[in-house]
Amino acid sequence: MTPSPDHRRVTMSDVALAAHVHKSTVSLALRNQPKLNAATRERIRKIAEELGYRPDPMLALFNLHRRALVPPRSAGAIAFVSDLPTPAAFARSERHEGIFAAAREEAKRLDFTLELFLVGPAQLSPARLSQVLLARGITGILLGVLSPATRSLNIDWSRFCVLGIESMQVEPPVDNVSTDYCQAARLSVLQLWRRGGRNVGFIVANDLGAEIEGQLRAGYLVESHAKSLGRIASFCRLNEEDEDIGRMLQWIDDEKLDAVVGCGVNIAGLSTRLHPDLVSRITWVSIDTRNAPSAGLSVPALLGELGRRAIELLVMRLQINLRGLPPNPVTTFFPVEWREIEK
Amino acid sequence: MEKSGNDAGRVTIKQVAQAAQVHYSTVSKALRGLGRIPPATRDRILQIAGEIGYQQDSVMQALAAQRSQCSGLHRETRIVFLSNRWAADDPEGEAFMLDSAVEASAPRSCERERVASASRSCERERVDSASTAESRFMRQFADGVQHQAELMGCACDLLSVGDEKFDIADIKSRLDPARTDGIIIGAFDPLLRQLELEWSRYAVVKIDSAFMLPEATLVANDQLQIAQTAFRHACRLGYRRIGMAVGQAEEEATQSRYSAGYYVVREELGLPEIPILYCREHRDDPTATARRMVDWVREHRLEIVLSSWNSVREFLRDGGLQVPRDIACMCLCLNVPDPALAGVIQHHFVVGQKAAEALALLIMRRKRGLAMPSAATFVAGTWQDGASAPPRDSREP
Repeated sequence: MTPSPDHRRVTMSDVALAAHVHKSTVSLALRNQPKLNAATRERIRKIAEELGYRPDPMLALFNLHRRALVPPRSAGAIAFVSDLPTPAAFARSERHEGIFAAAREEAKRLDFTLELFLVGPAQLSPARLSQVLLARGITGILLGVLSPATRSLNIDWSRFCVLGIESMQVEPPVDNVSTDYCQAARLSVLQLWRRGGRNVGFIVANDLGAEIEGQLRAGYLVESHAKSLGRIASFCRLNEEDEDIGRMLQWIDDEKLDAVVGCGVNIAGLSTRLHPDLVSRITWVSIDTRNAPSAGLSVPALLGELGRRAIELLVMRLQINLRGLPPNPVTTFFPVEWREIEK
Repeated sequence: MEKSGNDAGRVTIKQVAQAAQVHYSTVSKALRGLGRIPPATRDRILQIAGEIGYQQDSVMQALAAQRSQCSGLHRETRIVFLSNRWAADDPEGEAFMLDSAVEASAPRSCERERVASASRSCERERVDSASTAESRFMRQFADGVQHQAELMGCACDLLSVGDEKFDIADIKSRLDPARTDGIIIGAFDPLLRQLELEWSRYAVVKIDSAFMLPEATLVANDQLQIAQTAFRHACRLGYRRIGMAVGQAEEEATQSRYSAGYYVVREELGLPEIPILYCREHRDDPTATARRMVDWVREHRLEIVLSSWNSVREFLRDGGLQVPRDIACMCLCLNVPDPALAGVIQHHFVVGQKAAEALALLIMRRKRGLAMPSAATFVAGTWQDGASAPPRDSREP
């Protein structure tokens, strides 16, 4: 920009004058601050554009520097929302606690604090949670792996910036980060194929949603078509708490399985309770490290990675004041790697 | 900053240099205690600076300090959207053709010469319009990238490269590594298998081109969800014999995600298994493609075809079938709502936005070079009713 007498640089005051608002309102509008209603924001941004307003990058840098003189203050809190019944249950769940711990670390690195909020019958109701967060000025929400039963939360999303971690079942849908279960299933089938596994079945923990099972099925089917394996995906649901061994044995027998992939299920624990003949006849694979097998084939889930990436994405969106539900929901999948653990 | 008066009297580093009879960069080093300057010289310069009243400008110092340690996104972050396959009528495509002097008409002209001769003119017209429709998505990707870049306060340049006359030296000459933080690779043509740049210099995100090296963070339309959505709607509308026809190259590009979506819903709903029709050459030889498609429809007594081609209706018509009287169809990659054509709208603009966002995240983490294994972000499509797939009950028996 070359300053010339009749082409003075356009300032926020010029925009304020043209828009008949105070210049602090212009500042809010240009930073897309949701305190201002959307129509006003849009109107002011349009006027600013017409007048040719450009933020001065040197000034922006200078302001950044000035702010850095102030002792570092937390940029704010982010809510990590879970629907587990109690804090004790949350701490017991490796999946939840693993994600939460990594997310909290990452939040700290970015000058945010991460706070756990539980919703449910014995805990906060979603409406109450929403009040608490608004009162405290918390706008960032991570849905920390909601259980399949929680299909919606009564929250006015337009006031919040929300991101789900493996909470694809929530309606209306939010953006999510997730382990790439489709790729994990493909990888498992491919590796089992190399080891001679032809009849592959999947055991899926009850606390994994139908969407995750759908991803596993899609991965299985597309890879088994490529390899001309048995075309029907064989799936068995298992409750982590009281593992129904009898039913599982029947299923393995009926389906004549020679390989079993467990997802979110304690494969190592299971196989200790089975007849040694069966254990050695079948190739076992574990997707997820919640119960890392002491030996065997596994596709470790990326709990920490999910937590970190979720925080990073949420913070970036908070910085540009993004609010509300996405008109076109997206899911970011993180691929897993194959691992073999020798006895 | 006060401008008048003070500025004239302010002692600058250059005046110190003049008085000390050294270059001003030496003064700078002496003042900051950097570089290899004999201690005697340093002391002499500091003394002279003190004598003539040199004072560091705190504002400039602040700016310099901030600039040297700026982390994350700041105003100067610059990303480049690199692509070929612009629509023939897109100004971006034209710009390229002009400045690299590719011969007139569209870049694909020599492929098109191979189009069969019989109904040549009419076919060429259709191939052109179809490929234009398919290429228009590039403009939408680019718009999405630019929109998001603006929201995040970083600069974004579009860089278009040729198609057949693809020239790596040309790209390199127009990429300025010192000023470029990240590159988004637009959906390149499947003909191109590999792109070689100095990847370690940049953060990299790819759009829709999983088939192509290098491996990088991917952002794409969610073909898995899109195929599932179309299949479920076909079933809801009363269709049972549902077939899917997609391009071989596209399926390779997406790691068979359309197929995966088809298989999983077909199995869930327990509908007849019909082999997916993969076509290799639909752009080059539409007559053969139309014939293959219609043979496949007849062999499997299909009621509806789900296809990733915008021109699916024309293929069926050319093969002698009336849509929707003889066969219904859905398009899996609508660009805009079309009341005549049922299917799933793909949101290329959003894909562009998410690509810019993913790239900004990598830049923020100072992740340069190619990440293996890399994350993939998929944008869901939106169902759109249309006359090409009416509810089955309402059709003539």
